[in-house]
Amino acid sequence: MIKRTSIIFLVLFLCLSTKAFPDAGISDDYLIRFELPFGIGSNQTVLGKGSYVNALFSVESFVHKKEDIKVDIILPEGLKAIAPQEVIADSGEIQAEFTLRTENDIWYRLVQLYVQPDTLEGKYDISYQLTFGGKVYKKTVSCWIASQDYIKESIHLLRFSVPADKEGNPDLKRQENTFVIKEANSRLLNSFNIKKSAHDAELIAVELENTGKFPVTLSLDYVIYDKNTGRPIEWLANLRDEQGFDVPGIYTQIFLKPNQKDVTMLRIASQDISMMQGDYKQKLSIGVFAAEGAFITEERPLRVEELNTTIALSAILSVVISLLGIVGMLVFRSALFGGLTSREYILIGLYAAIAFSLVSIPTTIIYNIFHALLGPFSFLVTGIFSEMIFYLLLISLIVLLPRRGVILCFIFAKFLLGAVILGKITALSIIWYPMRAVMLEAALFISGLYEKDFLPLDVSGHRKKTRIPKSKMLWVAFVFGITDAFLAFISLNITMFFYRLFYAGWYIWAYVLISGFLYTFIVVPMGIHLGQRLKKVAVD
Amino acid sequence: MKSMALFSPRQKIVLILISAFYAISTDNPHLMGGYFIFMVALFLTAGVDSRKKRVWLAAVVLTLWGTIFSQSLFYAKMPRTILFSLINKDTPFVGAFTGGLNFYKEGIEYGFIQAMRFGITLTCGLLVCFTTESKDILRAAIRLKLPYSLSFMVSIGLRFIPLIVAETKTVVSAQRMRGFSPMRSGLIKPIKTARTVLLPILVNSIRRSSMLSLSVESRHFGRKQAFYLPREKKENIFINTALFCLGLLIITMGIIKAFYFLYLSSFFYLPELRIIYSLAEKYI
Amino acid sequence: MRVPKRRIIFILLLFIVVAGFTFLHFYRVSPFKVTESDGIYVYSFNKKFSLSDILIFKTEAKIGFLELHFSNNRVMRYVRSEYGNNLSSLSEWKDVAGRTRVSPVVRIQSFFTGDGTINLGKDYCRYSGTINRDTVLEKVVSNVFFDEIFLTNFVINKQAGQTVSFLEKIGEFPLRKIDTPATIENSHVQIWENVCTSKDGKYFAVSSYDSYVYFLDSKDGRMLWHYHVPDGKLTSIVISDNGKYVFAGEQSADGNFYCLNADTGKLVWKYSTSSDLGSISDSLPVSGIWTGMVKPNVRDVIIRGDTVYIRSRRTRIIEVDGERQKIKIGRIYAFDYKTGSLKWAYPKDGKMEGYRSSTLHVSANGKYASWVIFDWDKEVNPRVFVFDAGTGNILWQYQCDTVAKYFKTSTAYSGAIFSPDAKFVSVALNDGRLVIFDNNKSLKKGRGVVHNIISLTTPIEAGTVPVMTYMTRSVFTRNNQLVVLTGHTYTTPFASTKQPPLYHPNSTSIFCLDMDGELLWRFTAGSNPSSFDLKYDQDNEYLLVSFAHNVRSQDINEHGFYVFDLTKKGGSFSKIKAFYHTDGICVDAQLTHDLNKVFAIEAVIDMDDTPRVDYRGKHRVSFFEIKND
Repeated sequence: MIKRTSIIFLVLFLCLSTKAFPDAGISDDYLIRFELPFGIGSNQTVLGKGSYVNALFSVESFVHKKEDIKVDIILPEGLKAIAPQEVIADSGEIQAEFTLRTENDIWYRLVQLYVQPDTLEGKYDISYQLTFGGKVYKKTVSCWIASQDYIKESIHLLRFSVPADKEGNPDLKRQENTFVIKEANSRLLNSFNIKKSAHDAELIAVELENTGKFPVTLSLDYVIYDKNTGRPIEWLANLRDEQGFDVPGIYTQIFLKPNQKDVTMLRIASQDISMMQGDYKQKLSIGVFAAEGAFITEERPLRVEELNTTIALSAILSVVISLLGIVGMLVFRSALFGGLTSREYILIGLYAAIAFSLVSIPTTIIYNIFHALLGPFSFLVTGIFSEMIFYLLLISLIVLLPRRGVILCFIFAKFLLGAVILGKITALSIIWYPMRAVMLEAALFISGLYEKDFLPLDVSGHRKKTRIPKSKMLWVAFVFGITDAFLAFISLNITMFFYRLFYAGWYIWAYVLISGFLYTFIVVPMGIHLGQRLKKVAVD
Repeated sequence: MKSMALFSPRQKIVLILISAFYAISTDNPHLMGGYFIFMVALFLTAGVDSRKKRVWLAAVVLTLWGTIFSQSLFYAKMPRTILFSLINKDTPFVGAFTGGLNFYKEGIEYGFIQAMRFGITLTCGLLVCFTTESKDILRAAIRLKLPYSLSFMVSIGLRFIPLIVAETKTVVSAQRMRGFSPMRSGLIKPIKTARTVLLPILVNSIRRSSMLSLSVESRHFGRKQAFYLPREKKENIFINTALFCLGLLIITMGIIKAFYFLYLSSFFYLPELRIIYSLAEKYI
Repeated sequence: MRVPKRRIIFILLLFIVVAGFTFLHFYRVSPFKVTESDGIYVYSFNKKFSLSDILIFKTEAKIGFLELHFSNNRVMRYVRSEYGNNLSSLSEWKDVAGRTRVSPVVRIQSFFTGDGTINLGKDYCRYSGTINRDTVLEKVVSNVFFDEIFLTNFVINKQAGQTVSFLEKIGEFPLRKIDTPATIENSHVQIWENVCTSKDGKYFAVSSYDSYVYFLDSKDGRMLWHYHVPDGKLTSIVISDNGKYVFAGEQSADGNFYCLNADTGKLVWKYSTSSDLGSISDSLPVSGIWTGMVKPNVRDVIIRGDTVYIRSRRTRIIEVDGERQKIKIGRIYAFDYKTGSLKWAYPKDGKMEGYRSSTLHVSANGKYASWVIFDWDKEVNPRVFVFDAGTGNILWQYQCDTVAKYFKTSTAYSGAIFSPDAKFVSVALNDGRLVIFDNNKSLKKGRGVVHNIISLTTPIEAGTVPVMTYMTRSVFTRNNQLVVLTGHTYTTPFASTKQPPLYHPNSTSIFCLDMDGELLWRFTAGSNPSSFDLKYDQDNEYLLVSFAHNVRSQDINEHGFYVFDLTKKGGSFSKIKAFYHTDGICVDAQLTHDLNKVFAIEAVIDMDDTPRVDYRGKHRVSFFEIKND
């Protein structure tokens, strides 16, 4: 009973002996065919004991002649015809009469057959007789009968390669059971322009072997599951319907002759930007095609890695610029620092001390408190010190000493004070500070604060009591704002890269816009005013 | 015996650098945790007074908590389990814009592991800071070939920080007496007040710089740039060796990680390096 | 004495060239086996060949026939006319689906006496198809024993026999590259290019996906002018009967319909259908090869008298409750062909929204136009409309039903076609039924009167999976016989799988029926028909059917076009005249009105359904001469 039940849902196939396949069938004028589901082409798959199967019987004409034809099909012991009733003479015999008129005219009927469970495995003959125009022709075709248990024992999963290369071999250049996906940002950009490309998909190769006597068609199902909930993930898409819309699920069929090995490939793709890196489970199920139940399942962990190119590139960019900055500083130190007088060195040192006292120390204290309270949104408060007061000091210093090298000195001095007094040396700061210095020097150059006529003098060489045009102020504020926004973006990315942290895209943009651009933009004009007032003192 | 007494200032700087790079080079929680415990052990055996220990503890706890907080919100790896939602993704506008803001259980675990990186650098930094005089660190930095001009500026800064802090306190007190309260004044007012606070400090600094420059130039400053450095006691060779080995280890780990990253992202693969890929995946 | 380096190099090069020529001259491939049975000799070669390959044979006997058998089941027979009557005009073989198929033998009249030469490669291209990397000469069969027979590649003195065959390729015109070639895994034709010949047969025009209209001389394929439509794909083309105008429709953001001066190629007038149907701006974006669906597409350009008719359609993608939905939009138009003034349109105001629409047809006498609308999302079965082609007034309409067991709703993409005398109107439904209306009775009653319903491709259930096939095209012959073309096998919409377990017995076939539904003849082809052309003169009537790819069998040898001579008595085996194989898909083929020439467009297809690519074919128009022997 159990055995019968276990194979009762099997949809199976009829195997025809190749010998029975005619070079011309029963006669040169008419051809009989037996076809079973998924026996397309060679028509060679096996029939299972205790199963029901629809067989397509057809007679095709190859003459242009109206002919009345009668066909008698005698089924072997163990094979019974169930439906349709109009063609069944008795359970072991199928009869039909019809007329064919011309070449390629076909008569066909789907007949439901039942294979009795106690039938012995083996090869059986189906004989048929065609009567037309007073002539009678007889012929036999073969079919094979086997149990699902036998099929199960005959099919072996030799290899399940994840990922695979285009030839179906395991891709040794890649880590096993790992997919690599593009980062979310580029997926978002590309979601409107997805092209068929090998790089957009991962490949899986499955190698199967049929060691049995019978050919068989198998179905392969592949699913990726959420490790915790056990639910299939939604973003997996392989099939596309006729209109190009994604149909979830990945499956394919493979046909194996006796003693044949074959490799089939599955392509795993997704166009959904919600896909995520992480740990999943993957499961491959293999069963007889169109039958319920898989008799081979292979489950494994799957890791999906996201290729964070933005973060990696930011880190590389930062390292490169910092290195260039340091090298440049050493190579051009006489040009950079040679022009500074001792008074200017001292002033920069004092400024660095002020920056340390009023920026670094409060930031350190407040950062820890507000980070604990507000979490990642602490930048809204700490930005007041680390951005606003810092730029207030920096800009006023530049107005006082508008020349190259001042920013470099100031930033390095401040960093070293933090390193010496608080021990604040991290890999991030080592990479970050030189880059910051270089970028701010560049911003200074672009903004034009170097220019002699930025703060106009009268004919005698004294300062005019004129207001600096708003447009110039806004321009400087804009340049520094953009530069700081860029620096904020890079700093967050390299933090994410080195400390393996996650931040949402919207958070990054909020951080860049507020802490990076807005705070700086607001405070730069104030710094210029402050610097101007200080210049009075400096001159006096 | 105090552990940090074995280290010379230069060795302490090297220790900070090594710790900084160690913290970012490994993903193995055991390796990270082990080093963090090592740092904590060093700290606790450094002979630091209890007040400073409390400062350290507060800083570490706050840092750890802050990282856990942010990562539990932004955790973006599967699987992830929502503990509770701050903003539901169906909330009009904000929900769609942010995609929902939730606390994830796996984010808490992840945040804790990553927070150890900060813990390592923070502990090491504070350890050196509490057990070494600033001027000793500066001397050590100079011995490590820090450029003269930078050293000079830093030494000036070091010298005048207490003065600046005192001046700042005075000015801020004066502002408070005039009714300034930063917590209740929005964004622009504190900045304007900050400018007002800064102005006298900066003016003093400018005047100070003029005076100091006269003073140093009269002592022949600028002609021949040299620092007088007192003789340092001989460094512990065992510490030197250990630091050297640790440094080498960091470099090796960095190289292995780089190769592994290139392999993982299909940029570069060499069959001969498979043992390295396996090493990186399992241990680093 | 030291020889200068340059001289050494020169001598070496000369030696290589001479050696190469000598090798080629003496290079020959002989058959690896020769067998004989009942006076017929079979020489087995199994050799790939190229365009320059030549078959040389030596014998003293009189050659009755010499057949070349190729791996793609094609046979070329060089035959003396008196000998050929005894030989079958068809070659028989089995296709990938296991069906027995026939293919017309290419018959070339030849007079070989004694030694001879056949330009194997060139003749294959002229008469049979494209030589690709898989084409192999399997064997040579003849009634004589050859003292020597071999393949070679280079002959200094070559002989050529006199050759006459039914269809001969005389030239080709290359078209520009298309960004998105057809793909094998998509069951649609995908490249809807058209070719049209002028009534006098002197010119032909091509509307191409490469954004050009080409106007060429049909004698030698020389391009006379071309017209470029930036960022548009041309999908339909017609030359006016007087040969003065060329009408072309495009798929683009504007959905333009152009009238061009046939002499100069200049624009005479154009109409932008996007003003009525909308365009990409009102739709969500669609990815990949389906980006075109949101743009208006002007198809079915038909000229009758002084009126030109078109249909324009597009799809709008919207999001409803988080789900993407497609809204189909369409409209039909009738313009004065000279001035471009709109005579009428349907719907009169606005557009038909929310319904899929069929091909537009206009009767040969120019009196009636037909259009069918339907939608499976809204469960609207096909509704047939017949209009007065002059005014656009609806003369009658009919609401079809469906075979509910397998379909919620049926479709009728190929529309309602008119018989030549406009007596009958035929609609092919995707549920496998042909509904034939009596047009005269329908006009009288003001509603559709069914003459007959013929079940041709009703689904069959293979286990739990019903399989079906579509009637893709149909046309009436001049004798009011209905020719129906069927396409691939599919599973029905409710089926549990998209992979059909069986081929529907009536798939990829050409049927010819009378109005009572009796089968007159049938031909089993092997692929999805992309287009057809039926033309006749006083003596002849030819049916030309072009075939794209077969998504199930993926057999490249099925691409090409067939020519049937419908005047021949008997079944399809008697009617079939030629098959020409194209490596790429044949997207359209047309006859000239004098039935002397065929123009066929071939497009590139990616035959690999994995992320690898395997491009086959060339984007070109080939032209052929029909020779009646």
